[in-house]
Amino acid sequence: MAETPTDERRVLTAAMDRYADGDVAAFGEIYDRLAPRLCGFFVRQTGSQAQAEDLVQQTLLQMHAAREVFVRGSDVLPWAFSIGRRLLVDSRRRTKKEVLFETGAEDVAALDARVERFDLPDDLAATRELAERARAELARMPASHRDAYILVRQEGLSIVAAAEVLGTTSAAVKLRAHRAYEALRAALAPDGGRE
Amino acid sequence: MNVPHPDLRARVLAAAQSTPSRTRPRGRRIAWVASAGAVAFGLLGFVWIGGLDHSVGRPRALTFGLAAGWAAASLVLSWLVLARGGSTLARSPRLLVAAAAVTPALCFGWMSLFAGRYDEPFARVGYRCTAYTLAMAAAPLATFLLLRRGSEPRHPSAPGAAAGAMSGAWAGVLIDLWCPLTNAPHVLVGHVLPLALLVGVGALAGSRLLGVRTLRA
Repeated sequence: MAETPTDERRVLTAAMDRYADGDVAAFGEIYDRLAPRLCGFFVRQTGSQAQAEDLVQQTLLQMHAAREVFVRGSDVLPWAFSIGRRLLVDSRRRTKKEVLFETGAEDVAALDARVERFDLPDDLAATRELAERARAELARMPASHRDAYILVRQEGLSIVAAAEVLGTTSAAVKLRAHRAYEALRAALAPDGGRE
Repeated sequence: MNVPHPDLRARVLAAAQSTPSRTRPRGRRIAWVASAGAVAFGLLGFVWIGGLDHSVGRPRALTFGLAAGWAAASLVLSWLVLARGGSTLARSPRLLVAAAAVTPALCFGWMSLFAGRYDEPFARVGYRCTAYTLAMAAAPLATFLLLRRGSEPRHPSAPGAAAGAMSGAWAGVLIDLWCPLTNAPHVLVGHVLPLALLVGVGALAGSRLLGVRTLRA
C-alpha cells in the first residue's frame, strides 16, 4: 500500500528523533526521504541540478549540525525546507545576481535531446514552450508568491507547514499560492494571458 | 521529483561523519549545566549587590508583589521563547518581535502601578539598576544564543530579541527585589532602558549567531 503524506511525516520524524538521540544509521534514512524532495525544490528554484545538489548537501549538513535542537516529535519538513530556503537566499545574495531559472538552458538541452531520441518534435516543442512560459512567469512573480506556490503546489507541503517555512500565517500562504497559481494559469492560457 | 546524483548520498553521509555534532541528550545536559550556571551567576550577583536588604525602605508585601507579578510576565515570555510550540523552528517571528517590543512598555506599566503607594526611601537616577540588570541578563542571554547557535533559519533576530527581553525580564525580577524605587523617571532609566537595550542587543546578536549560514567546504 502506498505511503500517505502523514505516514511519511511520521517516519521522517521518527528517523530524525533517532538521529538526534545518537543513532548514526538514521541519517541515511533521513537522506533517502528528504534529498529527492529538497532536490526538486532547489531545481525548480535555480534551474540547475548541480547547484541544487550542493544546496541539498548543505541543508542536510545543517540539519546534522543542529540535530541537538530538534524537538522530539516535531515535523521535519518545515524545518528542512526553512533551512534550504535560507541557504538558497544566501546563495543568491552571494552571487549578487538573480540566478533563478538562469540556467534553464540545461533543461532546454535535455528537451532537445529527447526530441531527437523520440522523434516527436511537435509535442515536445509545445511542451517546451509551455515549460519556458511557466518558468518565465515564475521568475517574474514576487519571491514570496513563488515560494508559497512551489512549497504548496509542487512540493506538497500543507498550508500550515509552508507557513512555518516562510515564517508567516496560513492565510498569507493561501493567498500567495493562489495568486501565483492565477498568474501561471493566465500565462499558460492559449492566448498567453493576453486578452 | 528530481533525484540527486547517486554519489551525493555517500558524500553527504561521509561529510556528516567527519564533522561530529552534539546529540540531543548531550545537548540537553550541556543546556542544564549552562542554564544553572547562568541562574547561579544572577543569584550570586543579587546577593553581592546587597539582596533584599537594599529595598528595606519599601513594605515587603509591595516588594514581593512587584517581583511576583513581573516573574509571571517573565514566565510567559520564557514559555514563548523556549517552548517553541512543538516545532523545531522558533515561534512566529511576528509574535516574538511583538513580545520583545511590548516587554519594556509592560515593565513600565507594571512598576507604575506601585508608584506613590509608599514613601520612597531615597532618590536615584537609576544608573546602578541599569548596570546590574545588564550584567545579570548577560549570562542567560549568552547561554541562549550559544545553545541555539545556527538553528534558526527564518528571522534569527526575532528569537534573539525575544531572548534579550526574556533575560532582561528575569534580571528585572531580581532588581525589583533589590531596588525600592518605582517613580516614573527612575523606572524609565533604571528598568525600562536596560530592557530595551537587551532587546536590541539580542536582535543584533541573534541575527549573527542564531541564523543558518552556508558551511564552508
